[in-house]
Amino acid sequence: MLSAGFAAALTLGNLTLSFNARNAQAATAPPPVAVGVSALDPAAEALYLKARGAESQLSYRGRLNTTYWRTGHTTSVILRHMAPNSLRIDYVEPDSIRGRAVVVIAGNEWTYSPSDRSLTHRTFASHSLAATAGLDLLTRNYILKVLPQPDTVIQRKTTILEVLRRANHTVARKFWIDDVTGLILKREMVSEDGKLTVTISYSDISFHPQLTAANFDLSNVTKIKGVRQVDETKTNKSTVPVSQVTQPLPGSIYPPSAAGYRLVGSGSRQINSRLTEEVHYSDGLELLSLFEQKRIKVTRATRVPRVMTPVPINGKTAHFSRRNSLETIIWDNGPLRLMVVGEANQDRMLAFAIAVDQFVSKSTTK
Amino acid sequence: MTEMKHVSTQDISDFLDGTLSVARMRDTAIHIDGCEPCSTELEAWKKTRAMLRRAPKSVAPSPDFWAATTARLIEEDRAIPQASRLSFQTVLIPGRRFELKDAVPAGQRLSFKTVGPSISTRMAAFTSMAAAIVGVAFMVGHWPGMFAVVPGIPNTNVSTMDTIDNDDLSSFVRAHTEAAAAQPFADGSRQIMLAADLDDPSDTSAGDTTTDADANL
Repeated sequence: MLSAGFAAALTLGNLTLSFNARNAQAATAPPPVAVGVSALDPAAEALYLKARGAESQLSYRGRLNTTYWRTGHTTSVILRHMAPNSLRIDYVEPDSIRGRAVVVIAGNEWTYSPSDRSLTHRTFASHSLAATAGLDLLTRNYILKVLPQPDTVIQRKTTILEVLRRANHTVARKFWIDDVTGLILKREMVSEDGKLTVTISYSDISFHPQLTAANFDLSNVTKIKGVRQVDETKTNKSTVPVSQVTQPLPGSIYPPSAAGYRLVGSGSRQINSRLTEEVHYSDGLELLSLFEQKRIKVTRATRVPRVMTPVPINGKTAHFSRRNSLETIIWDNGPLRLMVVGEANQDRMLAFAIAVDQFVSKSTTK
Repeated sequence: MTEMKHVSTQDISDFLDGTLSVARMRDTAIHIDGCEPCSTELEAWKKTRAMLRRAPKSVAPSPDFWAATTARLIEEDRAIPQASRLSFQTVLIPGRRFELKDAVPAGQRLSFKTVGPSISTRMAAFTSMAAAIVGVAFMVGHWPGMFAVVPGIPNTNVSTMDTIDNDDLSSFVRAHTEAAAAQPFADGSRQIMLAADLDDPSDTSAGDTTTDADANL
């Protein structure tokens, strides 16, 4: 699929000019094609909007458990949220990360890690990205369906919202939405082959917690002997929107989206001491992120962690890995190193990577 | 950590080259960190390599170098008394053979045969040393960045290598999750957890921090 922005960028060729074309593309992305899209069920839309807004509007404290069924391991956290924008996550399980705490307040994130005795302050970048896909994109690729049978989760009445893939009507997600508050109390992720991959659910929750600002202050951990403070807010490790990037980016031009996906955000940050261009595509539910870096030695393949599995991409050797539910593919293409990260299934990720690779090959040979 | 004796010279050299196995790299790094003699030895190696790195890229001998060196070796060779020559037999030259039994009484003889150092032996040793120096110099040229993934060793050369380690992977994932948090049904806290979970030190699926390039299909 070649967008208008893509064509413009190809014609221009010049790096700086092509960024302008890209910005234009991001800003004026065409509305989704409405072919075959049925009208949204009003009840489903209302439930969706209720659930979407609930998390930031409520104050609550609960224990949230995430089970990754592929590996069978579970992460358990105590989650505190004070409306509108203070969040604290304390890890309870597994034992190896028990004691880790993450606090997010208005775009700032502090992570205390007992294992390496550090308190790291970062800027949380999502607010600087235009990566918000709307309901239109979601309904273009998925069907929202409210199940007639209610259910209960931790003794609370819930309504189940099912998200089906429009292409084959298979279940992609199931959400148990609290009837009173709208908070999603349980969610399931299902792969395209029908396997349950992730379950996230509260095992207890209180909507009337006694929370104060002190609950979201991690500065007391610095009194622990040996704990060092790391400030990453001034190290360009946070994303800067493409429109504000002043130096040439490593990538040549935006590759086309995967089928059904749309460009929803782009930016730049330092990763591995290298300027990295990041491009995000969404199908309304899942996000695929593409990263591009300039290679130093084109004659030498990028070294990757040993656990990554080799996979072929257009005759090249890419490397694949999965951790928790996130999948990653890395490969080299001429002067660029490319990486795709997402929660989509491996086949879809690979298809996207192949399309990107073909596109980059064409654009770099022109 | 496994209990280690002092690190051998060969292992220190391999450690600097980054050619030890992952486990041995880690064990060696940990041992060196807590062992004064080995730490000193490592520093000495580093200095030597630094010296080599600073040396001119190619040094050509003067035109009469080989002739003069050979002449001097022959001169010195003649000056050495036959009986004082004791070394293992490496190269045999007709007419220059020396038997230990000729110099040592029968009762004190060693069970192996020795010969005197010939010019060829010295030349061979000299050539080997020169080759070793050139080899080390070559490796030093490819050395930067090898420590990028060894725990406990400062990573000062990361920008000279195309290497993605687990920390980099976590950074990419973090960038992804930050954007994903803005998606419908994303659940910001879940995305934050996805990024934080990846730093689990016990997660063996993360793999070791050693890199392995160019795995072919």
